[in-house]
Amino acid sequence: MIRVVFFLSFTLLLHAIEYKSDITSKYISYDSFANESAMLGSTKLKFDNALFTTNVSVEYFYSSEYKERRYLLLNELYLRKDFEDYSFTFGKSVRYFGEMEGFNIADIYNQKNYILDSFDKSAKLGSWGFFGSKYFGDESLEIGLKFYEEDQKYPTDKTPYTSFSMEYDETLQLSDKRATPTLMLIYSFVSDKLIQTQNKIILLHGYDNKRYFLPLKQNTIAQYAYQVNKYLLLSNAVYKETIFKLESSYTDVLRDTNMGDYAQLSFGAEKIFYDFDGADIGLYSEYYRYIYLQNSLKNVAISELYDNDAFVAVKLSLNDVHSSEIKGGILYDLHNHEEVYKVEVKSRVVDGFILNAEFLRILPKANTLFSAVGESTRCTFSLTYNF
Amino acid sequence: MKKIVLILAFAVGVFAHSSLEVARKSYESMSGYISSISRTTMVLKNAQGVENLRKLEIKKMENIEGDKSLLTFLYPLDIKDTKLLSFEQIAADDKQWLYLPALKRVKRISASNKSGSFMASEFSYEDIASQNYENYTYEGEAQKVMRNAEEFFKITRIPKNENSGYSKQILYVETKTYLVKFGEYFDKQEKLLKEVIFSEYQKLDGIYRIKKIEMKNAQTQKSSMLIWEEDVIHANLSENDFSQRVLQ
Repeated sequence: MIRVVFFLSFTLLLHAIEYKSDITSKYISYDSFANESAMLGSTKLKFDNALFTTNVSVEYFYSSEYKERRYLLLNELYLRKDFEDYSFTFGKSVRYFGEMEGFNIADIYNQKNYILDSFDKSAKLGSWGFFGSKYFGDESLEIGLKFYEEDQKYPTDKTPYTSFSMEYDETLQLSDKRATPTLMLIYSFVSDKLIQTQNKIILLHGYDNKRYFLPLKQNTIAQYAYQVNKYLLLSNAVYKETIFKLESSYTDVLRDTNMGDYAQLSFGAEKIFYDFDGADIGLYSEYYRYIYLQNSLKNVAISELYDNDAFVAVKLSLNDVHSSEIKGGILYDLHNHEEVYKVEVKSRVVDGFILNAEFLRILPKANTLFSAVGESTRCTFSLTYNF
Repeated sequence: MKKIVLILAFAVGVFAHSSLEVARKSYESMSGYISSISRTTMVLKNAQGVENLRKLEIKKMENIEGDKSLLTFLYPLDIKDTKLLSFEQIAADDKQWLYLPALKRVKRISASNKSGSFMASEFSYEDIASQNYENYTYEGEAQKVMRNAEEFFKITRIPKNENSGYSKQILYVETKTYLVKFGEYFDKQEKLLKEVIFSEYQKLDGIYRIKKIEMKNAQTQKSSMLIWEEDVIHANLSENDFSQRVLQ
């Protein structure tokens, strides 16, 4: 009898759960490291009950070659409750803040998943926190609270995904207690007066999403989290067929001897040309700038890659039954003349199966952060099954 | 004699239908649903006859300033939960936002993409948008023509929006019901681009609702079919169901 009740309950539970999974088989060829085969994927679950919605996301990666690139991760586990004009989320979640296609200086809530891929925008680690939102018409006001700072794993120099020549201690060093919360206030508003604009102002008090590296002992470094007051403005404006975008921030660093105040700015434009013999062509151009406001301290911000960089990309959507896409982009450092090239081709071979090929070429210059990565080329072929 | 001429002229004046009037009546025959929730399947067929399926949920709400719609992609599974929120604006570019679930990103998109392909189908964004008669200008009187042994009003409409992919559209409107049954859409070079058949309607609470549209590209021979499998009108949707918070 108990078995029958258990079976019925389990069946009912399964019926009430909405799920979405993907599994990818990947082969990656490196020019200066051993090639790897990998199996990766994710499962997302959504369960509604009378009180709230529960969302769960589990991600995994298994590399045939690099033990460090093997993990099973509960990346999201949060509850959401919506009311007429309010919504609340509580738990571990991934959120997105940004306007740019290449790099988002405003994406300040989550840390990146460097074990997966630092060039993958969606590779982010969930953070534990609370968000409360009040909606009034086209505007909204949100309060966010990130509960604590987590350690950050980095691949070592035994993998092709490192930028360190020293040993890395993953225990995070902090200017205050680990559980000191970070507070965010987010105000979103629109304007239709001259042109259509959509804007977001974010105020943050607490730990900066950027961290710097601190020598711990001889030949060992660790990540260091410091506290800031941060002010961000995000905006997009639509003028005819072009979308203009802006992300900017000013960071007032609190009580830190190694890190100075800084500002970040990025702006760009996006224009899509439709129906070229049935295909659509998207053009993207962006510029990123990191401004040191206290020059004598600037060396601690060595982790900043996107300084005086231009990003140009093109996306060709063939609009065929396979939803085929070709994307190509160049990230060019205008100061150091470093270059990163990426080309990606994607096509749905059968419903549920996506075939993907990617080419990445990094051309660093001597005595820069990128020089630790070295000149490298990566070719990836993958087949993803969605179910 | 003068009286007879006068009566005939009056009769012609009474019984002639302007294209605008036919278009308005056609639009009104399908209006009044207030809000709706539909589930649709789109069948894409290439020139060799290979078929692909798309499924989506469509929520719509009538609005004096322009209808609002929320499209949620359900199939194929790699694009499941992708959402497109559109606010139609009469004789101006619509406002559109796209939600990309992989990035959890709400992205503003330029709604000038009238002629862009919708979900890689032969339907363009303007084909699936609200067919509000005020978005077009009309040429002269509606002509009564016979097609498939049935009587239709033949009207010609020209999109007001300069980003439209069409120079003109010829519609065949059933004289009894004012429902559009066939259409011929011409590209900017005034060549026939698409042929459309509105092949099935149903009546819900006295309002006509489309059930099946077949769109054939006359230049590539590719075709797409949009089938409404579920359709609920007066669905009690509110402005909140079309705010950006639903894109999360």
